[in-house]
Amino acid sequence: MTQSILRYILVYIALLLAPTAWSQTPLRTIWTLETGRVQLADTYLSPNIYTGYHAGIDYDFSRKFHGIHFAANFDYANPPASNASMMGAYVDLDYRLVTTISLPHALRVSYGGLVALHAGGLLSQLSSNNPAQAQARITLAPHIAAEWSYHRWGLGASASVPLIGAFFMPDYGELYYEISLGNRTHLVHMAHPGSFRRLNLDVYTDYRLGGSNRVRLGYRADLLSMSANNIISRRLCNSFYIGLVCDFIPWKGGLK
Amino acid sequence: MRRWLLYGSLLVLCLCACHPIEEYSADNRGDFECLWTLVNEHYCFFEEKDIDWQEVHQRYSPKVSSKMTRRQLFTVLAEMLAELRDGHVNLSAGFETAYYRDWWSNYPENYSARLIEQNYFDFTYKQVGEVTYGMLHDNVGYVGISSFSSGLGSGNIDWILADLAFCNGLIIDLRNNGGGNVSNAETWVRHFLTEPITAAYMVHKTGPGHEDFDKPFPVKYQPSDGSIWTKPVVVLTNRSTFSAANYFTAVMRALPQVTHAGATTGGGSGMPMSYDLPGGWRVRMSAVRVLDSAFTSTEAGITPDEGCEVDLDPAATLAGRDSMLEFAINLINHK
Repeated sequence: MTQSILRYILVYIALLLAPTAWSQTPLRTIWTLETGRVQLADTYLSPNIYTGYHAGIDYDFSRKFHGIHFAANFDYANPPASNASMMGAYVDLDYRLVTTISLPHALRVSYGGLVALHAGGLLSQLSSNNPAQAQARITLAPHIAAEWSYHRWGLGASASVPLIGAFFMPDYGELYYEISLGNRTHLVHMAHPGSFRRLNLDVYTDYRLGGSNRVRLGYRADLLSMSANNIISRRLCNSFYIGLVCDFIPWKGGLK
Repeated sequence: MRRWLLYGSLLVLCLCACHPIEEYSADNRGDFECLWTLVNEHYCFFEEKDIDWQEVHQRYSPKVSSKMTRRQLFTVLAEMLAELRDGHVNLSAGFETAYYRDWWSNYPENYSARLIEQNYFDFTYKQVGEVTYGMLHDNVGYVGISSFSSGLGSGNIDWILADLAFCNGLIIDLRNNGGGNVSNAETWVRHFLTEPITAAYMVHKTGPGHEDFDKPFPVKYQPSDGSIWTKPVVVLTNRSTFSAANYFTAVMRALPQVTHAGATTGGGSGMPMSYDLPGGWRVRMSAVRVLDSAFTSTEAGITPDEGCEVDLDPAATLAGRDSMLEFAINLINHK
């Protein structure tokens, strides 16, 4: 069942990434650096909720109908007693397909869906035979964004909430050593609202520097909660970011 | 329109609500309840040892109060963990690590490293990491492995076996080997295999219930690509042969050329996992059961082969002889 779903998702991604999908439409790239607070909990590693700091870098590349978002994130957190640490490192790659509609008063609304790939892991300083927790998942999520501009200023927000996908979780008391020996049962789980909950919310304001460049200041909330095999893994992250937005208008009609 | 917005917002809130995690306060009561629950949900030998963990909670809960000092709490929690009768269970605080010691302290030591180093090798034994080796009288090879913590590479073992290649047999002395890394034990075992084997079975928990276990997963070993020892082997153990050394003994004694001699091992067949408590202390406990190739638990220790149980003779020790080692040499010579 899970394998079939994975197969369909991969075929869907392949179709989305087909070269014919890329058209000569305005192109936008965004680089952002973010930092904030994070709360980590993973009952495979610890019964405690760790709190600490987060840092990350994001790159977003978008055309009119689709876009790619890449993020590399790093977390460092401590337990209530502050006598240990847990570190998290992750990379995310999202591909989104959107339809944009222009509304009066310079308001633009985009809606569509995205495929999100995630890989990374947590490393706990305290645990012995269970020192780490790997993370891998693929999800499909509806995506909505709105943007309003006025003279040099702009305001925007976007949100996505995954509805279906697949994610990795070891069995309740299974050591990674056993997985390395070849026991691969009960590791891949279907992501659905009962097992996988996530909200990615992004609110920002832009200031046009001149030409096609804008500086962006924003707030990003990333809430994640997964449950499988009687293990719960959570990450709540609130961060502020600063970024540079570049808009490029390609030649109409393309090269001749 | 407003109704749809309301429904949509509620749906998003439901989709984003976190799964609940039970939280404990960072005080004496929180540490006690968290520790008891962790053991209740993760410890893997309740049924095998016939431990009533609920009754333990009833007995120890009244001993915990907010007025007691942290050291007093540590003593109570350590006593509670001792109910598990498990050498793999520890409670670690900044000022102490609590160990359950009865699994070895109630038994004869049956080992003196100095006795062997001085009277059998005159201090001329060879040493690589945690391994000492050399040739004993009657052309018998000796390999003493004091720990499996750091381990040797297969190439190192090739050198050792090559050095002892002309011996009639080999004694692997695991006395006082408290264990270490199972994969280091595997590296050694593979040098005694002529064909692939199922070395053991791992049984991990699938949920918090005391009997929530997955089906046994076979651990398979392949023969080493290096040198293979096919001559007689005696694995010599005492009560302090524990954990990974106990595992090594269980795997080796199933091989046709191997005899297990000495005293019953200390057991420790559970693979431990560790967790931290709200107050910052750390607990380690057996969380994964490991069965031998006959599906038998070795948690309580492994008894030597029939007729091969032997203790260290104090009179012989005074005369400079290791009676257990002599017994093993005899076994090799009569094979």
